[in-house]
Amino acid sequence: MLVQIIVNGLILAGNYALIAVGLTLIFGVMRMVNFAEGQSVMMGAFVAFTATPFIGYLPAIALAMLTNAVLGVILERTAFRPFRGVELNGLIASMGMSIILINLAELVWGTVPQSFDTPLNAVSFTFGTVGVSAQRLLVIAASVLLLTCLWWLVQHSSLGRQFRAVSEDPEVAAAMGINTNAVARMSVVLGSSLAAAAGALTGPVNLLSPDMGQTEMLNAFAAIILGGFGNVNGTIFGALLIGMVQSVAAVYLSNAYSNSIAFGLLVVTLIFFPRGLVPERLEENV
Amino acid sequence: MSDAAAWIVRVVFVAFLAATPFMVDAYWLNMAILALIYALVVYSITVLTGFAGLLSFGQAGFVGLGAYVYGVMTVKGVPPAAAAAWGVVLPTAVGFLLGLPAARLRGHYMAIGTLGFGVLVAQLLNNMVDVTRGPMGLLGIKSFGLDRVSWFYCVLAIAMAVLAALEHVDRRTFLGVVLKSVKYDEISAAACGIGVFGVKLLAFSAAAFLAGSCGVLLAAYMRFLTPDLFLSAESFRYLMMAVVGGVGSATGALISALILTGIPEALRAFGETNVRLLVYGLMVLFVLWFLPGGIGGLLERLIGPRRKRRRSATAQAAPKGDAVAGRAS
Amino acid sequence: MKSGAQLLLAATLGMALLAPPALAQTAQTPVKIGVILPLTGNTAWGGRPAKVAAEMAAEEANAQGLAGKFKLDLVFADGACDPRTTYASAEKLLNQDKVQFLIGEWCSSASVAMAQVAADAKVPTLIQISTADFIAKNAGPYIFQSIMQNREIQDREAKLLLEKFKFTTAAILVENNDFGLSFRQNISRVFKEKGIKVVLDIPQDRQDTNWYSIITQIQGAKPDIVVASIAAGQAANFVKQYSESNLTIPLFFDYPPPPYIFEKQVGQQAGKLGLVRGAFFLKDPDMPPREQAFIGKFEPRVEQALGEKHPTVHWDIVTYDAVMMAADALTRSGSVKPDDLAAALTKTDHQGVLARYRFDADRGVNPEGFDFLFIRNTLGGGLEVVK
Repeated sequence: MLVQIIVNGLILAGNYALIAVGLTLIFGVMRMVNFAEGQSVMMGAFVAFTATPFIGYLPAIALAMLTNAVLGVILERTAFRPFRGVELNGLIASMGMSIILINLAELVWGTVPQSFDTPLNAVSFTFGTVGVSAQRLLVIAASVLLLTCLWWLVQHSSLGRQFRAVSEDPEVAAAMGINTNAVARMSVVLGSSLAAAAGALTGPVNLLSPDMGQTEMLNAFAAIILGGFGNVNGTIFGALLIGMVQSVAAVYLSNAYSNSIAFGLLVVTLIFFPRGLVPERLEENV
Repeated sequence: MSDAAAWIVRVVFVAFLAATPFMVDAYWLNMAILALIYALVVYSITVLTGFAGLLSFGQAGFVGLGAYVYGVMTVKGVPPAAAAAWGVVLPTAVGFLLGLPAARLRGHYMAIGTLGFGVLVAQLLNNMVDVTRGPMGLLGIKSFGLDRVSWFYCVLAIAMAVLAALEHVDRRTFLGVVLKSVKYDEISAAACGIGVFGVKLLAFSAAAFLAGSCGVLLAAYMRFLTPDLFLSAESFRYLMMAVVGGVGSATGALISALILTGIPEALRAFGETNVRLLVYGLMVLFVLWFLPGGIGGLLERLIGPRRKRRRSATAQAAPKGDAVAGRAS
Repeated sequence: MKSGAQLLLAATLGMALLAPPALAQTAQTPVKIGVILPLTGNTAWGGRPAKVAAEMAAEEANAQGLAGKFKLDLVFADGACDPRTTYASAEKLLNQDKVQFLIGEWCSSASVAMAQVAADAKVPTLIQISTADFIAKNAGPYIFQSIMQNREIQDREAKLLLEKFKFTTAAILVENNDFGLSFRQNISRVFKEKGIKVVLDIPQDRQDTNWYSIITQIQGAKPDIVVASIAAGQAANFVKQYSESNLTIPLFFDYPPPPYIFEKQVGQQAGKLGLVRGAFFLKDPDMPPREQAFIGKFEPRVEQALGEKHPTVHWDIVTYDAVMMAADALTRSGSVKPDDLAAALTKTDHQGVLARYRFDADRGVNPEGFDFLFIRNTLGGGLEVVK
């Protein structure tokens, strides 16, 4: 039972974390909320689903991430760059993009949920008495791998330093010769491909439909706020917390309110820590 | 344009709206009534975001609360007038209580906190089957017995009265100045002796009041309710209306509510719902690209050069760290 | 010659002029019937073939004069399985197209919206698919529900369950939508009466796709049988996750999507589990001849209309039956006045393809006219009737 709860929680956490770090990166660099992130998850899942019969599952994940990188460039040009400084418009524009993406997907893939079976679905390991498919374990392993890569990128690479510089002060960063537009574009590209990975990984666990990704995105928001907006490490921590709490609460409290539980946790936290568990840097206070 | 000309434009606009029942059939009149009812919740965002600089992702929660309080009470036999009063009072009270913690939060923290409220209300409406009949839908709601044309004039009068009140508060009262000072520079406002927390709480409760009223009217007019009408996605739809209208402009909010409610219906010519919504999404993007100030911004440019100057002066005086439009500080 | 040609021309012209009135004499009075179905959105798989069934019914009724002096003229609108869209569509049909009769929607929440609009406009309405309890009763004298309602379906299911399975403990899992919640209520009541112990009783939020925590709890509670009511996409999701967990507790399902969707998604897994479900109808050699005849004419037509094969499901049949019932009521009332039509509907005694339709005092259909059976997934990926 306990092993099950932990595995369930880790899968949720990995999924939320992949979506949430993308959101948080974009927010950190541009101060914009990307509402099309849920649709990036959906597009990633469908691209991987369509490509798997031709190139195999693992290459299909990579392809989905690449395709979504292109989507990220488009998103940045249409929904974010035109609205620098008027963030609310950017939010609504990304909402407009999400409407467009959902309806495009419905036209292309239809509205009937599709079952996405990979060879890993059939392999199952037994923990205690309950089987866990290899696919679900892959979700956990791949999330850890991708998040570690991202952490390294942000902390130790030149691009990561640019990210941090721009999120600290875009004007000064620009004055120091950093191409803020390029950095902003990279943040959307990264966020969007991580979302694609989330979709391609969890797609085979659930089913694919054009309206998938929305609930996950709402939970990712909760994770971001818990961890402090714009903070990658805090966000991962927030996602882990939300995933675990949901998994435990679903067993011991209620399944009918699982989303409310995530947000309940968030609201209670905000009452005591109005700036999240890992607050943003103080200089942004003014 | 002079003040007199601006007044002429206003009178023509109101006269045009008032003539609607003579120009359209019952179907479009129905759409116009719904749009005018939705205008109330869009106004609530005007107050919250436009005036006070707060961001809420949970307005659908207040609308749902108002609608269901009214609906459930009339089904249980409470007279519509009393039920309507409760339907307005309860969301306002909940807004006040929610405001106590929420008004302390900043920018996106508040947005996501209120999103949580919206999610909770939607799940409560769905799960409290004994009270709300949940997903089975609430039927048999009593109303005021008005015909469609009377409904139109009633909601038009309400929408116009609220519009006038908001424009008045925004442009002519001290409260409007206080709200703006909180929006543009909270710290200076506090330094000037303005109770920032109180002002935010007031804005939050006023917004809950408007959204709750919207819910009551919606329930009384449509006379059926299902929780699906109040999902979080609705909150974002209202926000979209507010932004397309130009946040902060009540007139823009009204026009945007009318247009964005009407367009999906007008696009029925495109047949397929998917194509219809695709075009809808594209139109929203186009408005944002070419009219960054929304409809309200366009109006200002067309009929209010004097006001525009004043506005841009305040806008320039504002630091780049606007609570909503700027950093989520 | 010239005059001959002129004569010919005059004759042709004369015939051309005379022909329309001559036709009009035999043509019947047109009656507009609005049909709201989910033609887009996540239930469009069902709405599009059901639309073909309705068209087929109208054509047959008109060709055979089944509507008496009336000619059925169907006007379709999209309800998208969504209350707001359905509300707008019903408004459009009633106010712009001026329909005199309404049939429709699929999802109960949407049908509730339609019923309210129709009740206000006093337009006779048949709800032929939505099974939520008492939609007609709550919406007033012009609304009729021609399908068995949830409480009746679930009574039958409980009875059959107790007959076909041996169990003393059960887990009830539902999605918190209208099917799920009423399933939970009704099944719990019957189980309580029969002394079955319910060891697990969980509603899950309809937007939550993660069923693992429930599966974890089933593992802990070890019931003799799991009965579930999970709709649409979630049904397949659950079966997939259940099967991957290596659980062997028998699984009963209320109302999953039709075989051509559900079995395509998780047929393999369902076969492995030996999943059992309740159904009105299964396409198999033992079905009544009237159903066989319907399939014979419907399937080629739907394939032509949609460009792909579509196996018949009961939703197609009840939509066909609903149009035929409208025709029958029109014949008997001889008038399109709402009160006459509603009175005629009340006295309906119609042998349809799926059932024999009669209405009770609450304008719900009499469940005795319906057959109800259990079907089981077989290892080969097929379906069989549980004998």
